[in-house]
Amino acid sequence: MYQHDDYQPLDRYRQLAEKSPDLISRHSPEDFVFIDVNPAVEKILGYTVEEILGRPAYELFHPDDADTWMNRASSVTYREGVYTNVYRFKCKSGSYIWLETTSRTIRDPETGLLEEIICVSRDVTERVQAEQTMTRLARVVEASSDLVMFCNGSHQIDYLNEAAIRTMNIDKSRFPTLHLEELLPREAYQQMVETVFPQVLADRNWRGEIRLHPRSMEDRIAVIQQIIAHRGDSGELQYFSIIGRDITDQHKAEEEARQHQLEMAHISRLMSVGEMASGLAHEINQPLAAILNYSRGCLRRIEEGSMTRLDQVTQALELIARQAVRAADIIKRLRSFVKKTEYQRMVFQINAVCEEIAQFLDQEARDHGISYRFMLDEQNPVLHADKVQIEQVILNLLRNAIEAHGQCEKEEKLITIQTVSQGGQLQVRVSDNASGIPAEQLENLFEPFFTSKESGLGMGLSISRTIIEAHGGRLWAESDGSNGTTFTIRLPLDK
Amino acid sequence: MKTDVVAEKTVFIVDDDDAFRDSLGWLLESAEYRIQPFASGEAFLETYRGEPGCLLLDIRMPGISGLALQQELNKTGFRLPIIVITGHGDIPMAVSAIKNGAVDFIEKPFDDQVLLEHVSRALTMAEEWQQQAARQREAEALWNGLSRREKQVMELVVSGMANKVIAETLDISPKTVEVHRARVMSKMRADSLPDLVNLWHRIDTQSAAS
Repeated sequence: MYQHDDYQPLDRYRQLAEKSPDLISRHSPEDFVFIDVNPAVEKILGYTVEEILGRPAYELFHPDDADTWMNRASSVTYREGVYTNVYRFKCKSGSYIWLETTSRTIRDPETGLLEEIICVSRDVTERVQAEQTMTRLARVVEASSDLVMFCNGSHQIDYLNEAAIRTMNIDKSRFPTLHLEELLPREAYQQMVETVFPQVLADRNWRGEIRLHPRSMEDRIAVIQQIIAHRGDSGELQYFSIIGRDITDQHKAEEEARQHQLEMAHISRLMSVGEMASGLAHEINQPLAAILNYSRGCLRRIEEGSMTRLDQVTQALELIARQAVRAADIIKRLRSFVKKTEYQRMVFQINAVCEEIAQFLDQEARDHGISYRFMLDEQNPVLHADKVQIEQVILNLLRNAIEAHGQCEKEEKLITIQTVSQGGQLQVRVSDNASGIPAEQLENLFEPFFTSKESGLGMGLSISRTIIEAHGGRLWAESDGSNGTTFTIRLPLDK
Repeated sequence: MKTDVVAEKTVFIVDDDDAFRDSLGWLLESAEYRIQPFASGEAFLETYRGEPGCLLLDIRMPGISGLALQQELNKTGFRLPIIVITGHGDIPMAVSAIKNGAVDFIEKPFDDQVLLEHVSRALTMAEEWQQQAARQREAEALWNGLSRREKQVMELVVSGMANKVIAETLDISPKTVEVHRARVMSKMRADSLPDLVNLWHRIDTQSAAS
């Protein structure tokens, strides 16, 4: 009776198990030997029921997964007396498939000893592989050096990859409430809303360059380069992915290249001033020589009596006047060269300029056995002026100082370069300890064509003073006439 | 003031600067020199055919530079004293010019007195060169009038050989040597042996023979 009563349902269960596409099996606690198995085993694992019965399942686990169940690894979950495990299992063909197995342990109600394990397993290979692909893709996104962000239709950001977080220096706790608006300058965000997102929605994809600039970002430079719209099955917008790039290094390299180019242009400019001076000397020489020839020729004729009429003299004087005008034009051209082409104000550190120019003339100084002494203002004053022009003035003063030493025989040859900022004024002093300048010459020093040098043109200080005065400053010289000279540039500092 | 010899010579001026060239001419004319100005080295080389005088040459010019003109002129065989005019800081170029055979250099702007002295000196030099050249041409003409044997004898005579040795060298009799020697003296219009040696030094046997 009892047996009979039970028979019907058991038989039905058996039938159900026979027909189940899932693998249903019973195992001994020792090495999980197959005690019983349904025919699905053949379809799933390739073994016939006869082949598999009596074999320990433990041997067929993938070596890496064999102990996951025993160790309750992360792949194993336990809920209401049922364990679920996902693991690789060896088929008859020798290949592994992924099985998801729910198992229940049967224990002796009195002793609590493990009697057997009942398992229901299904082939989840496809699912696991798809998950793995997804995981890999996610890892790529996460580890990519490109900046990746996901945001929804209302521009709320719900994901940033590691590069985005790092580059923009985002506080992770801000994630749930972070809005795209916070990562962009106002106009850029406006542009995104008005033109970029509508275009993304229309074309699915947008490429361009928009500068990212969250307040938290410090010294990096990043841009959005691509936005993709992702839609669900029914075409509704699910989210946007925003892909950007940290262009700090690229930017830096470009900046360095540009800087280098500027420096080259700059050096060639300094050179060209020197060349110009020599070319100018030749040019001015021509009309001067002509004037001299005409006047001497006149004097000779008058002395010898071959020039007696006033119109002859007039003609000669006209020739002379024309050459004087020519000389004046050359000077005018020089002035406009200095004035016109080089007036570009910028902010720069005067100390660095002094050091660079000294460096530039280092070889000349060494050739004369001169050493520099720097007394630079520790506040590192910043000047707003035409850097090239100021450099030319300092270069000129330094070169003069070097040449002053070249003409005297003092034992210790020293050039002191000093910067002092005080009361909204900056002073740059260049002092030498050569033989000085006599008081009567000191006054003429800044006159055009005044020179004490064999090869000099006498324009340097005149031009220098013009430059400094154009900057609202002053340039003057002091000397005791025997122990050296100090040139001082005074310029207003920006408040 | 000036000798007639100098007065009949021309001061050639080559300078690309119109005003300077003109003023230089003006100055030289005031000292009664005959001048001939050229705006370029090319123009000068095209025109110049060995007229006596001197050349005032600007060293810094577009086209043929002063130095190149000097080299070209050396090739033509015309000997013309060159005074190089240099500008500001052209001293190294002036040195090259002198090495190339320029007789002088002058830095502009210059004092008229200095220039005129240079020009006068150059023209005197031109006169000397001219006389030298005339003497050379004369001597070479005489030399070309000698027979082959007479030339051989003259060569050996000026090298200091006695008639007997010459006879042995040329394998002829001393008597014949004596006859040749007398003919050489007469044809070369030499009064004495030293005279003949002098003439010999003026002859460029290479160019005269050709």
